[in-house]
Amino acid sequence: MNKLYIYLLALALLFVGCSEDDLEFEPHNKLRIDNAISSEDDLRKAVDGVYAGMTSSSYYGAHFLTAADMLGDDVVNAYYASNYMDTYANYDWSAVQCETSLYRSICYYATDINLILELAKDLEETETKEALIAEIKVLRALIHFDLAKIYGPLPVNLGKGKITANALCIPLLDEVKERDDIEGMLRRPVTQIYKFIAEEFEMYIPLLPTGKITDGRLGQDGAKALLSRIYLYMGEYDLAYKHAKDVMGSYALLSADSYVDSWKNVFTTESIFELIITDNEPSYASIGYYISGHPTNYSGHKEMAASTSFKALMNQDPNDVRNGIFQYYFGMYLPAKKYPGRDGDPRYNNIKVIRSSELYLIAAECKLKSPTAPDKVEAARLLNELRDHRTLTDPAKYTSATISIMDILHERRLELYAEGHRAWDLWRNQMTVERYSGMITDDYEYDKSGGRIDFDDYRAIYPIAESQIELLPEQYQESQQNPGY
Amino acid sequence: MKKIPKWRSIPPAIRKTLLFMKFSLILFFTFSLQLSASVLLGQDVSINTEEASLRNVLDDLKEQTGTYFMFNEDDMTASIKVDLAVDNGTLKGVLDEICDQTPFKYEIIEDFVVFTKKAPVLKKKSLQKKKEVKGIVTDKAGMPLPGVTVLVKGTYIGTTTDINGNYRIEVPADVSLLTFSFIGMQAQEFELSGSVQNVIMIEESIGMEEVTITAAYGSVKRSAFTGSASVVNAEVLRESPDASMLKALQGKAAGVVVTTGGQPGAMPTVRIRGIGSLGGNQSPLYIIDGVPVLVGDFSGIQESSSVLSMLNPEDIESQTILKDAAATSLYGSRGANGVIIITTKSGKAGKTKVNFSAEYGLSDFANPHVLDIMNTKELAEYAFEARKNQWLHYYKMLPGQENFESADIASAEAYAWSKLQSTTGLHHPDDKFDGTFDYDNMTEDQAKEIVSRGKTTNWKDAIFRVGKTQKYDLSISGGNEKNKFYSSLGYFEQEGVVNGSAYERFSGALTLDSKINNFLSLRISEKLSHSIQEGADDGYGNYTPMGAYAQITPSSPVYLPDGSINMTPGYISKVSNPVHKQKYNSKVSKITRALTNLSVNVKFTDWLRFETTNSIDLITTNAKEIKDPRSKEGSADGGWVGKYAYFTTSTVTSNLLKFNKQFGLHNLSALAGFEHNDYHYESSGGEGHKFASEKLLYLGNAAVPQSVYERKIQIALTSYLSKLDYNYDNKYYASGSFRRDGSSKLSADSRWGNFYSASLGWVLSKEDFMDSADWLNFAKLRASYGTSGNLPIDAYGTLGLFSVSGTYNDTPVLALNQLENSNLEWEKSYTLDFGLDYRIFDKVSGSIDFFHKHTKGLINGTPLLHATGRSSVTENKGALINKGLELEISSENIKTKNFSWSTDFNITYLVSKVDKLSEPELDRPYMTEEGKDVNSFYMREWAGVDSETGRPSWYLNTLKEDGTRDRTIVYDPTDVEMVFLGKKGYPDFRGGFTNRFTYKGFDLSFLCTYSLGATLIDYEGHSYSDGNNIGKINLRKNVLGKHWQKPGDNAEYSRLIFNAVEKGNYGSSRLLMNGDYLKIKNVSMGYNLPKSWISKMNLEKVRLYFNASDLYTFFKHDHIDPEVGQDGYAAQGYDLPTLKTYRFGINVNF
Repeated sequence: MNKLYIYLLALALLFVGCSEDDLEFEPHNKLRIDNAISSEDDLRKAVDGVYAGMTSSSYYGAHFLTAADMLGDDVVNAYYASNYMDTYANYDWSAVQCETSLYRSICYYATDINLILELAKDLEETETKEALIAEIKVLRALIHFDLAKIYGPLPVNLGKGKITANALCIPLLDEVKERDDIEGMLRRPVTQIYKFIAEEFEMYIPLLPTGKITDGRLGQDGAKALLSRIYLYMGEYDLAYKHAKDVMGSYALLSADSYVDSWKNVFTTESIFELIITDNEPSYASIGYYISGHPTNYSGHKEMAASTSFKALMNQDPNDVRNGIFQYYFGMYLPAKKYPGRDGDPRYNNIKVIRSSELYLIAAECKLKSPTAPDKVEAARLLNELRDHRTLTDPAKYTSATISIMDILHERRLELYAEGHRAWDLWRNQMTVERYSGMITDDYEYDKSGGRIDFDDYRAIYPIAESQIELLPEQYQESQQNPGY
Repeated sequence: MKKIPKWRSIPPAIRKTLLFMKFSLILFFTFSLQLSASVLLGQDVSINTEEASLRNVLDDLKEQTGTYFMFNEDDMTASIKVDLAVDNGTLKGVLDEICDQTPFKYEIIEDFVVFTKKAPVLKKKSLQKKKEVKGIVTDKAGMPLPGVTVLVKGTYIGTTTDINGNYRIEVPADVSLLTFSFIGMQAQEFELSGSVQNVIMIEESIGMEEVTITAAYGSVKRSAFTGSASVVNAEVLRESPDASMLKALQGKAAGVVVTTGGQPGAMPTVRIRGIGSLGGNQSPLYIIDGVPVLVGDFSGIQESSSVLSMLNPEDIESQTILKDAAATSLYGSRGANGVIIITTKSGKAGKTKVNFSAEYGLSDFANPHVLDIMNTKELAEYAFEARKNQWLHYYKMLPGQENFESADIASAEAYAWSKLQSTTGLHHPDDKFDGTFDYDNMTEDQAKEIVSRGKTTNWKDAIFRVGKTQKYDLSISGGNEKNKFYSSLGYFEQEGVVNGSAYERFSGALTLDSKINNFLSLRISEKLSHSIQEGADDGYGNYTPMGAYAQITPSSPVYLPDGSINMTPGYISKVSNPVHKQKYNSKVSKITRALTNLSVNVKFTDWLRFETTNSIDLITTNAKEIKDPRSKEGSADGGWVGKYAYFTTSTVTSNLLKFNKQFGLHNLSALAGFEHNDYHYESSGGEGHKFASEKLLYLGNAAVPQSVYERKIQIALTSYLSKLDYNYDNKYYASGSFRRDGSSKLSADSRWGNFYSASLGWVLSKEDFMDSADWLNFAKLRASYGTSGNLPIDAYGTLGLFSVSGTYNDTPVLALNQLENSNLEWEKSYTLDFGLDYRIFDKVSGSIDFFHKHTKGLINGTPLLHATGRSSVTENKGALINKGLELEISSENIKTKNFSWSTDFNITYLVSKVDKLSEPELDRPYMTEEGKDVNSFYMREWAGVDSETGRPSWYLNTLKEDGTRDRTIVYDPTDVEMVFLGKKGYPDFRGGFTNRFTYKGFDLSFLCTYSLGATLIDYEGHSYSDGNNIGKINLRKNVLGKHWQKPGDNAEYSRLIFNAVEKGNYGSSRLLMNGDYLKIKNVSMGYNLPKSWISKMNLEKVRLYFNASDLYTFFKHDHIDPEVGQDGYAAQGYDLPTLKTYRFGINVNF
């Protein structure tokens, strides 16, 4: 062998350098943020990404969806269940030990939205783009509203009881926040956050698509319906009524005999805004699977069941079709038929975020409470109309003479069970969640609430996790935590 | 992007050359290896030449016969010509003819034909005077030694001894010196005095300092090594029962901690010199035969799996653990957690050796009480008391409560009886398990019968079994000075203690070393293995055997009276029957690994060499998970199958120029090199459900395909390295190294890092003034300082990314995945090491090391305000200090002809502290805070059980204004402040000692490991205390009878109240326990059959052995294995516990 040749080989190998290019890799399944959104189509996919996030299990997929039920008095968390739904169930949280996944996810989605808005600035201005931007901004306002309910007092309660008028809520997530922008990430007063939410809705609703929407996105009707709910929480009853009235006519109530089965279907006539969960996103961490108690194939976690007081409510009217959403399982009534899933698989339920029956209830409540145009006749009529679609018993039960907020709450309990309303319904009417009947019952074995949670009880609002508070400069730490924690 | 692996960037012509060399080597072996001299010379040849150059003729002969010819280049000039005319002659005839025509003679040595010049004088004399010498060569014990090379000194004239140690050699009359050499024996030289020369060979007894250790990018005599390293060799490796050789390091080397679980093929945790990182990688770098290899879990779907288990320990010559910077900094960015260098076996010149071994073993839980849980009666009584006290507590009638005086015990008991069954799910003894027993209307008397005559099922036997291992290994090795080979085949099978868990491995290895010529040598090694791992799920969860075992109601039968399986054995209906699950469901990973390594060594001059090592480590995995439609897990889906394929390659090219020269007493060596490593990972898989038949559970048969995916990861590391070693008279040593690394894991701004080291050594014992110290055989002082690094784990962790894999309404979506983080850098360690290597009284040797390792810029997550859109960012922040003392002693206590006793002892003292951290980080149950020990427990302080009331109590520990803590005892843990308890998870001292005895053919060794100063946390313990979790999991038997029952009791557990409403289960110092232990880790006994018996069968060595591992632990708590990692986390609860293993085997050499 030629020695020189070997020499050359050696030197060649020794000094085969490596260029920087050999050290630059990008993942195959992720796009660099800088070049992710370069067309309208990309923008649309990014907007869809926000919807996908909203179906996660900590949000509409399961936990948030039933937060107010778990906080309230209608639902028990079966004590030998897996406790996947404990997040909001047992008043067992403290600033040190509390669930933060919803807070985290919502901040994540808001940042996602703000980044998208930033990146979309370079795209050509078109109508499509404008509509997509409007859609995503309304979604941003909606996620603010959802988070605000858990971390701040309800706006209608400001200044009432122990709740101060300038109580804090959540940070305003209207732009991408840099790490050192502490001021920009401080929690803002409830008033400011709700003002932002309402203004964003009002401003962008006209740009959204109209008519019935069945691809799981938010259109004008859905946004108006949600805004109606938001105004109800804000105590703006006239505005809430106006938006409810605008939409409810186009979404006919289901008949009593089709009611229970309608939960198996998607985009029913009642459904105004619905998030889609397809068969391709199988998840056991889903509302249907958490609730389901299928006795033969062992699936499901049996996480929520009717409380003793709710069972009593059901017994008042055995003819009410809404009792039919419950499935009996070893002494428990599980609302399994509300989330039965498609083809018998409880994992796949579209999430009906808002339905027209709720608008009837909102409208009735607004007419009852309106400071400028109270109308008890209309309130009773609306309640009776809903009732007419749910039970054969006493269709004209409510009259303008007797109707009260208790009637509305009664109907809301029955109609909106396991849809995330109960505790907030009580608290925004300055009422108390009462969970104990005074004896040892099996209802709330693990409950740490002591039985009564008044609307101004500090536990009606979740703590900000201590670990988050500790990241703030000293001067903010005390003021940024919710009172009582 | 265009990506060409580095080895492919070699010019094609050179690649071709390399390939050719590889093939010719293989051919060469095929033909020449096993030829005896007579066969060799008898080979047919035909040759017809006139005036041909002898060189060309020999080339021709080599072509024809494959025989290799050796000659002195200077003698074999082109002018030497021969005329030959042979048709179908023998090689011998041709060679004889050649020798007649030329001034050469030939000899057959091994299977070479060696030409040497005839002595001119002899040629003239034509009559050469010769004499015959013969004799027998034996070892010290008088056993004949076959295969000893006997050579006339300074010539190629020689022979080897036969099977009986006899030799006979004809030597020229004027020859006076014969040399005898044999591997492992001291070479001997004898002046010829007669015709009989018997020789006794003496074993080479070499001090520790003479051992050659494999260090970074080369090997070096220990006496010349200025770094800190421990070596564990093949014999010792064999004492461990595990599939992986890592377990064999347990207790054998100072500063090395290895912990393992009970799952076959599982991943051991290896830590070197303390706790190297908080949030980053803590595992050492593994180098096999010069190249970094893939480690980790490549099973895809198993709970735990280690690809290192695929390397047959039988193929390993030694493991060297490099610890200090002098030793590791040449591995730069990956050396900070230490380096384990694995050297595999290669052939040795001499007789071909065959080694066969077979082994059979049994394993069971090392800790006999680890699975003790309550039986039906015990659980019922326990629950009864808890329910009774719950009632009393609610009505404030327990001691210390306001209505205690008017306690209504009868009502409380009635309540407890009424709740007993629904609380525990325990079955009435008359329950026929056909659904007819009316539990809803159970009477109090019936409830009492659960206690008085409730039945208990032995679930332990139903779920667990005695594990089995079997192992067969065959290796053949040998060769001559030019070509050596090692080849092996191995089979290993282990059945785990959980039904359905198993590990099976087939392995083969081939290593060829060839010296092509004076300046070129090469080595090819191939390790091929295939493993099949079938794992059981691990951890808490109703689907794991361990979790299910804890959650099953003890009165539930495995099978119902009608013979069918009991599908609801737990009160919590989700618990699957583990027996049923094990029967139908499976998780199987089939992994194939090929580790191919080609190195070429070019010797330009005596002092300059070039080495290139190129390897490809290829791992493919085929994994499948089945949830049978008949099983609970699969029933909802109508059967479920997931099938996955993983393909991983790591290619390394390492190219070194090595310089080594002596200038008088000055010795200088240096190396410079370039290395590039490309890592490439791809996987794809699919899942589907709904199957027509449970007999055909193949993904393609799924009626509903669920998901498909494809993943890919690429990582690259480029390095430039250099090293300079100098010594004067092998007495004063100095060396320095420098390495520059660039990693694709970091952003362009921060990806290049520099690493260096400097070290000094002084062989004290060589100094004149030490001459008088006869007792001192060797002493060397060393000092080193240097840096090494640690890379972040995530391949793309610094990039800002949108994920594209999500969907909404079945259309693809973009969603924020992570934000850019381009500031991330290496974690860097600065290690100072002072050491002493010694050997005294010709008996005791070892080393002492003091080390101080300062790790800065820790890769760690910093929590962020969620409003930033991230919950944390990975940053370089904080610093750790690990310092300590390591001591290794090896002593040959007694050595006589028939008996010997030796002891190896090692101990490590360690302090691991957080040196810098801007904000303390709570990581329950630890707090990481500047100035504190790593893994310091930070919890509520338990004040015991109030002996009058039985309430749990804690110290308040709130900080008072004067800076002291409020020591008030309180009864609500939520009021209490958590504090540092002055306890930490890692031990102060840890180590092991081995004693070895031999008596005639018998040998016995036992290894003990120990640990002092650690605190363990029994994390699951809180689940079992004070009435918590009744009816959710069955409770550990060891809590029985230990709870408070009446005033005056000094109880360990507080009064039992259902759901532990007094919160005694809250995490507090009550979960901590002293972790000191002593463990009989390994006992090994062997017997070597007498040579006189086996030599008749032509065998060299036959050894029968028995080995027991994890035999017994001296520890206070008999349900916990204290041999845990550095965090003190006693993982006894739901992880598969440690196993003890008994093995029997036979080892045959010939």
